[in-house]
Amino acid sequence: MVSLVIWLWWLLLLTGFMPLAAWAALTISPPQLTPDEQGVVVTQVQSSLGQTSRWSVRLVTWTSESGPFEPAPGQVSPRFFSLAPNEIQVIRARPLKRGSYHRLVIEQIPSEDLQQGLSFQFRFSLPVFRHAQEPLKHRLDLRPQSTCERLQNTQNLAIQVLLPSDVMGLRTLLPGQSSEYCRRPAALKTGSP
Amino acid sequence: MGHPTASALMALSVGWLLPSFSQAAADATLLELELNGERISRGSLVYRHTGGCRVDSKDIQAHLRLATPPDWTDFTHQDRTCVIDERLGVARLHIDPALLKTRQLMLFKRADAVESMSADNSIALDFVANRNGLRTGLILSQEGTQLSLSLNPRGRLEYWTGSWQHPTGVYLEAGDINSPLALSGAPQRFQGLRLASSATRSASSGLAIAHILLQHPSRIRMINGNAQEVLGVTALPAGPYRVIGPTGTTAPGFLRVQIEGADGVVSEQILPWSHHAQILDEGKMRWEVSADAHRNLFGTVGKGLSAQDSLWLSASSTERSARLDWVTSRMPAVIWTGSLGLSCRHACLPTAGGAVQAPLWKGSHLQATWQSGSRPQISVTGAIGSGGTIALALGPQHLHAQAHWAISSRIRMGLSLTQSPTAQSIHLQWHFALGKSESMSITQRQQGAELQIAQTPTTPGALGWNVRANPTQLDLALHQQPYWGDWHAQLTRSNRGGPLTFYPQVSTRLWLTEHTTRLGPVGEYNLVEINTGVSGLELIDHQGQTATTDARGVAAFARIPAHASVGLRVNSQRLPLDRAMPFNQVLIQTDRRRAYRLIKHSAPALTATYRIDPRSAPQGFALADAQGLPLYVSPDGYIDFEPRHQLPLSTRTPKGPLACNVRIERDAQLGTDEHWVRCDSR
Repeated sequence: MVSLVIWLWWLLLLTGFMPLAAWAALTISPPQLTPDEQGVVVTQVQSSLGQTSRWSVRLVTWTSESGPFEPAPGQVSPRFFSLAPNEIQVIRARPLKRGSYHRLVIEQIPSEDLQQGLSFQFRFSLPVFRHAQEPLKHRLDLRPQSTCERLQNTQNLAIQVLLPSDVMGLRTLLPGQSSEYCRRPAALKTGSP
Repeated sequence: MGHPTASALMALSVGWLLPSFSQAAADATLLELELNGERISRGSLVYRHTGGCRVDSKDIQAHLRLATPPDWTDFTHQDRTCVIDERLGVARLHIDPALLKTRQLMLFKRADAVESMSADNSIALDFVANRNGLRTGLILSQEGTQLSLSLNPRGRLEYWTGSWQHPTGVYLEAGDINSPLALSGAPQRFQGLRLASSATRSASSGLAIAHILLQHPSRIRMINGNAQEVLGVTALPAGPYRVIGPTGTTAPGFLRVQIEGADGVVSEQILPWSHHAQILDEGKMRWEVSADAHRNLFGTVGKGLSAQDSLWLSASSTERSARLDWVTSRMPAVIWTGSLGLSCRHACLPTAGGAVQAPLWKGSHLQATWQSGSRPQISVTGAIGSGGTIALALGPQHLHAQAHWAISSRIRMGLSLTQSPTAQSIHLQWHFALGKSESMSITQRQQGAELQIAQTPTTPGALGWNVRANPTQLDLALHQQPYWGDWHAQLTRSNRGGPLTFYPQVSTRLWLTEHTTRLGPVGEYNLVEINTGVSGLELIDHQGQTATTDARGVAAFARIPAHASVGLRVNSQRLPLDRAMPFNQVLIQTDRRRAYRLIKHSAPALTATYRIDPRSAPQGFALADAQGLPLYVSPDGYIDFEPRHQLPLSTRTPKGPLACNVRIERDAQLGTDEHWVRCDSR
């Protein structure tokens, strides 16, 4: 049977895109996490969707290497939950490796009754930092004559790169990580029909 | 903001799903719509037009304050732009955020359920012991009736109050009365009789309101500027917002809104945070009549004429006067009052007056009143930078000026000046935050300097202390609020050679109801008992006070404030990690000095984790339960085993069906039981 389901994944890296995402599906507070003395991170989500939705939560290891995030050992509570409109759920996790960076991935589980038609799924990836002072803020201003510049995080803490609206690149750099920052190509302006 | 390929795919697919519509509008394109950075439609017809685009009005009308044309709305002007991103299939519209429809933002989450709790009949016995002896009190509550009295250490009646509330809300009280006036909300204290339409001011008329305009999608943090209490954190798209907050001690004052844009830049807005006791909801009526022991009579009646206008009529036999007040709030946070009356105290004369409360500039607020026959009174409060406030009050006989600055996050400075025809005073205060709960302040007055070091308890029941030294005396005080009441002890030594004095005080209240016997603090507090049926659960109220359920599953809150809406819930942060429960909150509306009991069985679910055994995992094949219901498997191998699912599980592969067994193993690293699911061929 030909499935008409369109899987639309909204991978929302937190910094920068979070405000839009939060209004769209979940309000997440706080969206950036740091373990407490017991190594537990806590966040709270509230559904903005019009109907009950089911979600899964998992921990992944956040490294500077490209490629998919690998599952990380640790406790997550709850791993699955349902949310009615406006309902709130507290999510807690305890990564086993305290010295590593993690992400807490909250993603919507496809509904069984949406086997046909249009279906949307939301995914939120929340950064789990190691220290409360992270991420350090770093403002990047490209030189007027350059279109691309490379930035490496030489510090021992993660940094959040504050970018002008016309510059693309990674918003968060882990220690030792580098990224290329380039000016965004201008979107096409419409002409007459 | 979505994945480019997916977004394009979606736009294409929606077009395919609606072929006739697309064909009818052949020169239009079906695109996602973004308005000021917020996605408002996942598929709308957009006409390309010179210098911009035209958008189907029905897709945008709900978001705008302006009326739109019936068919198409132009985004071709300098102040209404449209940029089409062909790559992502998005039409990005931009308009002045002030033209967007105002959205309402409630601070404090609405509770899941408002529990209509009836109070239990109760007897409360108060005991307050200090150096002067033992003061006792008795509060008898039965249904809508309450009688309270207090005896001094010599056994003489100190005060008494009797009250009765009809189910419709009409409230009668007699004795030593201390209640807020319906007209102004100001407390009045007298001996006599009072009959009112309700025991308290209505909650709706007491809501605090502020308005903010976000130019860009932002993350915002709202802080009560007076108490430095965080009221809410949320992320919002651009546009105007009407922020509605709670009543009580947090209002009026300043609302500090910290706005963090998508670029990480943080700015701050300081807003007047006002609430108006006199503005009633449309059609709502409030009234009260009172008579004191000297046969002075007072009466007032108010009615909400519209959402903005209320009319109040009041009469007083003491003043031999009658007055009509028209209260209006046509603009956000601006309230005007005009009054006309007749006073016959000496000779009958007409009276007139007026008052205004209004925000001035950034965070400053004006309050001015004028009455015929007296000089006007003006007070202005304002903010200086991000960490300071200034207040100036000018009355017929006095001038008072006060300013506070934050020198740093830990140091504040205050200066105040008061001048009257007979006296003048000035004092300067430095306040240092020494730690999480310790602080030191140095106050310089004309009489000399005073040093104060204090530790304020940050958790309920913790010990607090205070040392104060000035030219005349040295004080050392300890205080604590354990679950059973309050105690404090003060040691004072006079610098003029007087004796060392010790002043201890301890107080407690014994609650006796049909169902419970408990101790609690003395005061206007209520007792709320919640039976969850589960022992060891920590419950938390809206102020962060916690109580843990006992062996019977009952938790008691003995410091629940009077006449308040109180939210109570299980503190899910304190549950063991293998337990979880939804964030269910109950909201209760309290009276005063009453005992409430609520049965709310809410056991946290044991979150058993089912995992696919990676050594046997049939990768890519769907799992089903005993009834054939599919189960979701997360990318890290966890199975969404819902309560509706039943064991055994199975999976179907091209080689045939596989039965799955569940094996429970202790994970030594995590300290939890894992349900491993292994699927083998039959």
